Amino acid sequence: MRPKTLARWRRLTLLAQGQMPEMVLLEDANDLCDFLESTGRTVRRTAWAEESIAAVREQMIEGYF
Amino acid sequence: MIPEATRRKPGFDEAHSAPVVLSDGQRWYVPKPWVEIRPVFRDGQAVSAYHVLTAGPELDELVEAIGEAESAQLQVIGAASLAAKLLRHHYELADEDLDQLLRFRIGDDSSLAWVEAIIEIATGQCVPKRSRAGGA
Repeated sequence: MRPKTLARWRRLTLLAQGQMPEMVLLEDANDLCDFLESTGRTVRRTAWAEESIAAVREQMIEGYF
Repeated sequence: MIPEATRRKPGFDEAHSAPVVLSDGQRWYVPKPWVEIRPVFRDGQAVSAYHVLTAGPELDELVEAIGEAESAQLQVIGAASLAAKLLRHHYELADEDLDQLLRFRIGDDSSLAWVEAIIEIATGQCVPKRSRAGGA
């Protein structure tokens, strides 16, 4: 199985929107993904991308101390 | 001092670049990364469709190395490596040129400024923006 990275989450989120150009500036891709995530139109990155899941877990563990 | 404009490579694209003031006090331009959403095929093989800097494993590794660096010195080395990669996309620069441009002085705000700017550009956080999708 391919790793669930943030980069894949971004690409899949953009692909899921249908008509997209072949290339988009990274800064625009990030903004578009933020927009889609905050409006509930994509899976939350913290629930899909392994890096984000690990970061959330780390924050929770730090919160205990 | 190296005159910035004389080192530009053919195809230098200011419109999709971000300015950074380096340690020589001049404004240099580094390319903003692009994300390839769909592969473009030529003769059955996926090829890069544009002569642009594509965000991918190589850039990600350099950014990650800065984040994971265990000392400020390693962070600066990581940022300088990232800056060198971005600068060489646009300019003809030898190692001794990069030595001049990417100097870091502890406690110097301008040194910190170029390090922060380079990381922001490489991770797609740079402002001001020029929003234009569809390739260069």
